[in-house]
Amino acid sequence: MKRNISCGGDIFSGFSLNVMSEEECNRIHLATLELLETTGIFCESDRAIEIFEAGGCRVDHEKKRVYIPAWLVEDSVRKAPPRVLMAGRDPKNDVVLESGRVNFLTFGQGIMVIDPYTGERRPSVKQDIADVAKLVDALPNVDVIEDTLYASDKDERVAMLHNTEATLSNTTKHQSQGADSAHQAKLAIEMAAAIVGGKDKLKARPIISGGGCPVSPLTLPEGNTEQLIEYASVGLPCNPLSMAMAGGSTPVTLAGTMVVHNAEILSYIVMIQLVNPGNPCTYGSSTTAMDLRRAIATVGCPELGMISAAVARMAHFYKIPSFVAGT
Amino acid sequence: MFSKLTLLTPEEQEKIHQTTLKLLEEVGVVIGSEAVRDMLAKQGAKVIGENVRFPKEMVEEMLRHSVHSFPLGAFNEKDRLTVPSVTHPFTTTAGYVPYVYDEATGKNRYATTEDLRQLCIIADYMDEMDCFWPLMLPGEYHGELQEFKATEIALRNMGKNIQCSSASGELARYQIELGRAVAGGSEAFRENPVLSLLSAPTTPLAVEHGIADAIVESAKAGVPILPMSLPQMSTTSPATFAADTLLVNAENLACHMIARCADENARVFYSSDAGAPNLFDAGIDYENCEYVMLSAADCDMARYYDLPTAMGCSVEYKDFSTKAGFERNVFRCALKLLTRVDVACWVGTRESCLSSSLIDVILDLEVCRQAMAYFRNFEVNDETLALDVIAERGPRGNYLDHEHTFKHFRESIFTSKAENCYLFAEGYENHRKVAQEKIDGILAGHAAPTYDEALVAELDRITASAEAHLANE
Repeated sequence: MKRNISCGGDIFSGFSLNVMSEEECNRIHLATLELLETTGIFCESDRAIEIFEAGGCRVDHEKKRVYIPAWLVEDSVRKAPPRVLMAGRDPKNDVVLESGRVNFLTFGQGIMVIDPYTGERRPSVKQDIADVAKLVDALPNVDVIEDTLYASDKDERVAMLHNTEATLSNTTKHQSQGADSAHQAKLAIEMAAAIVGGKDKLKARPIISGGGCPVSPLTLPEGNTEQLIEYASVGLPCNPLSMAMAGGSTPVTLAGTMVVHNAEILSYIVMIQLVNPGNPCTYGSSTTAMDLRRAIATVGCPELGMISAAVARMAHFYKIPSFVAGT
Repeated sequence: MFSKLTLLTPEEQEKIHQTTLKLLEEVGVVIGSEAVRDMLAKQGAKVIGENVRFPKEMVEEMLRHSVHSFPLGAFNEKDRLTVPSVTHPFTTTAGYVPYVYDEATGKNRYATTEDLRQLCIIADYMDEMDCFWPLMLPGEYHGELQEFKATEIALRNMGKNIQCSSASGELARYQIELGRAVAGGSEAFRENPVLSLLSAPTTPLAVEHGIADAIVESAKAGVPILPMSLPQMSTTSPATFAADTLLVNAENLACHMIARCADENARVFYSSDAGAPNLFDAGIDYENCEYVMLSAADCDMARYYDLPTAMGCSVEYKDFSTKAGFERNVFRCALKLLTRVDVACWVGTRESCLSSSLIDVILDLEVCRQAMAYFRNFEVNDETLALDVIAERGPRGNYLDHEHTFKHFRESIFTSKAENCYLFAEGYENHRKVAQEKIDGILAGHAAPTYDEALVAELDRITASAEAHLANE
C-alpha cells in the first residue's frame, strides 16, 4: 500500500497553513447547524427526500425543502470514518486518505484538449481519456485519477460510461468519478465490480469512488444526488464536492461562503450516512470566489487558497478526509 | 484570524531551545572582539581564547527580560513603524549588490551614488515599501566608507526607516551619529531610531571582531539590530532542517547576549536568511522549497521567544513575460510572507543578490502588493457569517445584488490577477518598459525629504570626518 508523506494536518505539526482557530471552526459549524435546521436545503430528488425524512428530517414536500436537525448532522459526522481507502486495481497503488497525508490527483472535466502531437486545441475524445489514464498510471506522483476529459465523440447519454471504461482499462490506480444519474452510476459500479470479481469484493477493495456536486446555494440536484446514493448503497467512497462562488452563489465574505459550503457538504454527508452508516466519504471543495466583473469562477486567486485552507481546516475539525480542487 | 505558515510543534521548539542552550554552554561561539569577550566574561560567560561559552542560566535570564517590541523610526512621521507588526509584514529592499543591471545594454555595471540616490527616491515614493536597505553599494567607494556612504546617501534622500549593514564599531558610531543628527539628538534618536543596523554573524558560530563591536555600539544607542544568520544546509550547517534551525537560533541568541550585556534594553530582532544551496554550483538558491520552510521554522522559534522577526525573503525568478511567471512570483512571495515575518527583506535583487535595478524594484513591489491579498483576516463574526443573508436568499438564490455583497466585496475579493496589473496593460512583453515609465514619472515628480540648513551642515561635517577616518579600500 502506498502511504504518501504526511504534511501534518494538525495545526501544531508539520508545514501547515493555519487560517482558522478551533473556535472559529466551531462558529462556522454552529451557523451551519442553524442554517440546515431552519432554512434547510432544496432537494430535487424524491428518493433522497424519502431518505432524509426517514432519517428524522422535517420535509416540506411541496417546496422540496429538507430541514436537517442538528443532532442528525452531528450524528452523521461522527459516523463518517476518519480514514478512507481508495484502492487501486493493483494493490501497490492503494492510497489511504487520513489526517494530514496529502495525495494528488488529476481534475476536470475539460471538454477541450491540446493535442500532444499537433498542438491543436480541439474537443477531447475517448482516446484522449485512455491516453491520460495510461500516463497517470506511469506517473508516480499522481495517486488517483479523476475524470479529466470528456468523450465528445460519444453520445452524451453514455459518454460518462465510455470515460469509466477507458480509464479503468488503462490505469491500475483508483478512479474518482462522477455520474450524471443513478442509472449511469449503477452501470459504472457494475463495470468496476466485473473487474474485481463482484460487488462484495468491490466494497472491500473500492477501485472507484463517486463524486457529486450540489448546486450552490443549498440545492441538491437530482442526478448528482441519486448517483451518490448508488455509490453509498454498495459501500463505495463518496466525494461530495461543493463549487460555490463567493459573491455569486454564496455571500461575498469568506466566512459566509464557508457556511453555505459547509451546509451543502454536510447535507450530503447526512444523506450518505443515512443510506449506509459508516460509509467512507470525503469533505470536498472546488469553492472559490467569483470574478465579479466577468461573472466567472476564479482559480489561482488568493481567495481560492484561503478557502481551500479553511476547507481543510473544517474537514480536520470533523475528522473527515478533505478533498480540494484547483490551484 | 490571520493565515500563518508554521513548521515546528511546541515540543520541537522546546527541543531546539534546549539543544541551543547546550550548544552555547558546551561548544560556544567565537567572538573576535577582545573588548566584547571581556564584557561578556564580566557578566558570567566563560571565555577560552576567542571562544565564549554562555551558561544556561545566563541565557535564560537574558531571555526572561527580552525587549519584545520596539520602534522602527523614520524621518517621515507617517512612515514610523513598530515591530512586531499587527497588520502585515513590513517590506524592505535587501541585499548589498555591487552591480546594477543596465536595461539599455543588457549587462551589469558597477552601481554608483546616482543609482542609489534614484533608488532612494523610488523607495520613498512607493507605498508598498515600508523600510529601506540601500542595496546598491556606491561603487565610487570601498570598504567601510562604502557602507557609510550608503547610509549617508539613504538618509539624505529618503524618509523611511533605513536598515544598513555595519561591520565595525567605528563605522557604527559614524552611522549612529548620522541617525542622531536626522532624529534631533541622542534621546530623540532613541525614541525615533531612523536607522536599524544589520550586523550578521558568520555561520557557523562566529561573530567577527567588527560585527561584535557594532552590535555593542548599536545596543547602547538604542538602534534596532538585525543579527541576520545565514546558514546554508550542507555547507555552513549540517544538511538537516533541525540543525540549520539550531544554528540560526544559537547565533541569534549569542548576538542577543552581546547586545543585552552592552545595554539591558537593547532592541534586537530575531533574524535569518537561512537556505539550502544549489549543490551543483554552490550558489545560494532562493527558489527552492527549503528556503520557505526554514523561514517558517525560524519564525516559529522567534515566536517561541516572543521576539520581532526580520527575515530574508528573496524571490528572484524574474521572468514576467507570461502571466504564469508573474503569478508564480506572487505565490512564492506570499508563501514567505505567510510565515508572519515582521520585516520581510527581499525587494530588488537579481542573480542571487549579485545585481539589482530600479525596474526590478518596481516589479517586486507589485508582486508584493498582490501577495498582500493573503494577509486579510479570515474574519468569523456575525456580519461575515451572514447567516441572515443566507436564510433570506435561501436555496437557489444568488447574492450578486444583495446589499451585503455591495458592502463587503471590495475587502473580500481581491482576485489577484496579472491582467489587472498596470504593468501588463500593454502586454506581458512590455512590462519592463511600463515599469521604466513609472520610474521616470516618480523621479521627475517626487522630491526627497527637505532638511534645514543646520542639519545639512551637520551631515556634511559627519561625512567629512568619516571620509577622513574610515577605510576606503
